[in-house]
Amino acid sequence: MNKYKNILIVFSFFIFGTALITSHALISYNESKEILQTNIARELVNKGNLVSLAIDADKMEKLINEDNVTEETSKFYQEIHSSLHRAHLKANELQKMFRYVYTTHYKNDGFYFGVDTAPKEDTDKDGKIDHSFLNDKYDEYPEEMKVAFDSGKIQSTKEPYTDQWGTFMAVFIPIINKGKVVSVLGIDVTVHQYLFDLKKLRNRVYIYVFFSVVILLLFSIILYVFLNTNQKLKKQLLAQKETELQLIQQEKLAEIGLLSSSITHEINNPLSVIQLHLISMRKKINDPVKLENSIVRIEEAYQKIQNTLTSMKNFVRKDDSNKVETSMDKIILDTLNFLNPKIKHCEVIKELNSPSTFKCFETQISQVLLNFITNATDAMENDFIKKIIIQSQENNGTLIVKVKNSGPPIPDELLKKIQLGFFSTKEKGKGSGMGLMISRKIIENHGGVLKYKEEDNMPCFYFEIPLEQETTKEVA
Amino acid sequence: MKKILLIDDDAPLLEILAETLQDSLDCPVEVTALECSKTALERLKSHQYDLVITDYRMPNVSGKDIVDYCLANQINNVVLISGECPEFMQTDYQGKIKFIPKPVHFIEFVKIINNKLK
Repeated sequence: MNKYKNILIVFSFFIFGTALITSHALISYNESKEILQTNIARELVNKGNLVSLAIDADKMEKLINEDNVTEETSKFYQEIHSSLHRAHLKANELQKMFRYVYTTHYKNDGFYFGVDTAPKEDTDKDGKIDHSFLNDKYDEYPEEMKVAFDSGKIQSTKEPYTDQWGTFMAVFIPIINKGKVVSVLGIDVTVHQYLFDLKKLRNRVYIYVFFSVVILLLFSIILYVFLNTNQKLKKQLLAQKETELQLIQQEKLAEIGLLSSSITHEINNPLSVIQLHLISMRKKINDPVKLENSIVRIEEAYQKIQNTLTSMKNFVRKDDSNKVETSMDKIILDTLNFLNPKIKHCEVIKELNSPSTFKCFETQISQVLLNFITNATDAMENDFIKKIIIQSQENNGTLIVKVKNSGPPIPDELLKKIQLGFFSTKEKGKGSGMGLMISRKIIENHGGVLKYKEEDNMPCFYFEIPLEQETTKEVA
Repeated sequence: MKKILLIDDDAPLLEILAETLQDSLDCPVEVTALECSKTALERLKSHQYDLVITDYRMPNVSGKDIVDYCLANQINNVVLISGECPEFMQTDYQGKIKFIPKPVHFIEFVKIINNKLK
């Protein structure tokens, strides 16, 4: 499921990115196209205005309104035609932009041509020479022409339009005589340059989109690889943590196994006391003093068994899912209580000076102490004097706990092996050899360090942990 | 009157064991009950006993030390009480030492001790 999740994330990222790039490209393309069109329109308007100066509006009106060709109108036509032709040639001096220059006027049912400077040729292949004679009807006139005629304002086409003579862009300049629009000067320009520029622009947009998408694709792949690696690492970390927890739990159970003979001893003795007293009580029915003594002894023995079982239960129970608030001194006392059967033959000196509460995995810390103390008692097994010193102190927000014993110091080489784990000098069945390594792991999980040194000529295992721990370590 | 040396570092158990020996055996006995095994060892060197009953797990001088001393000094009437049967019992000492497991059962305990004192 997680595998698909990553693919989905990367895919969404890619699609979203592509959409962004495409819309950006489209907006830019449209803006550039508009600028291109505006530039063309401005040029057309400028030049169209110049050309329109060549037309005598008064003569133009007379020419249009005369239905029959007279000598006068013929003369007017020739005059306007030649001045338009000159203006056309002049305007085309620099760029051969203007294709057709002509006038149209609106009469009754549509536009009719007035004067046309078109060369005498048949571009529309209708068998007639193109130049429009007066009053030829213009059927497919562009919308802008009508707007210019009606409003009296210069109009230019935004997009190329196509009529029977080809595809053009055009400007329409109204010819006004005495405040009245009498005719429209139309100038058609070729669109080759515009289409060429547009194509260039489009190509540029394609290239932009293509490279952006390629880069986006690369990023997506990198993202995918990163997500996957991250996930793997997380999984590994979790698995490692799990193994570690299992190890800690295993070691705890192993320690309990090793302590079991001490624990049985601790339970067997009071059990014996209870059993023997119960039997003897039958004979003491008439001796209230002795009877009372038996009852007291049975109560004490019962309490002893209960204490042993309680401290064992406290140690075994696996409630290490959350850290609890407790003090180091309390943990030490609880652990010693649990270890009582094991250490009762030793002289235990407690120097406890760490009453502050802190957050920790209580049974894990207890396990470390148990490891220190059982190691100490095992090391002193054959000694006549068995002394264990347990010290706790606080120093600038750091907890220090030391466990010293009167046994022999540990040689350096041995120490290295012990710390690596799977090594024990104890006889078979007396330890896993993992205790110290696991203890170190526990202390490190609490943000602390576990070390060994010799103090007052005694071997001393100790650990230091900060009272305030990073909350990130609370993963269990 | 038979003399018995009883050694156990657990005071309540020592008390009731001594009481049981005094009240419930077939023959009258004189019981010396000692909590400290080291003192007991000293005592063994200067006194004669018909029976030595000792715990196994004890500080400094263990039950095995007591047993070893007894066997080395021809004191053959020895009973060892322990929760678990120590390894040495299964080898060298088998047959020589009577072993009573804990928790001590009244009837069994009395029976064994009576037998030993016959």
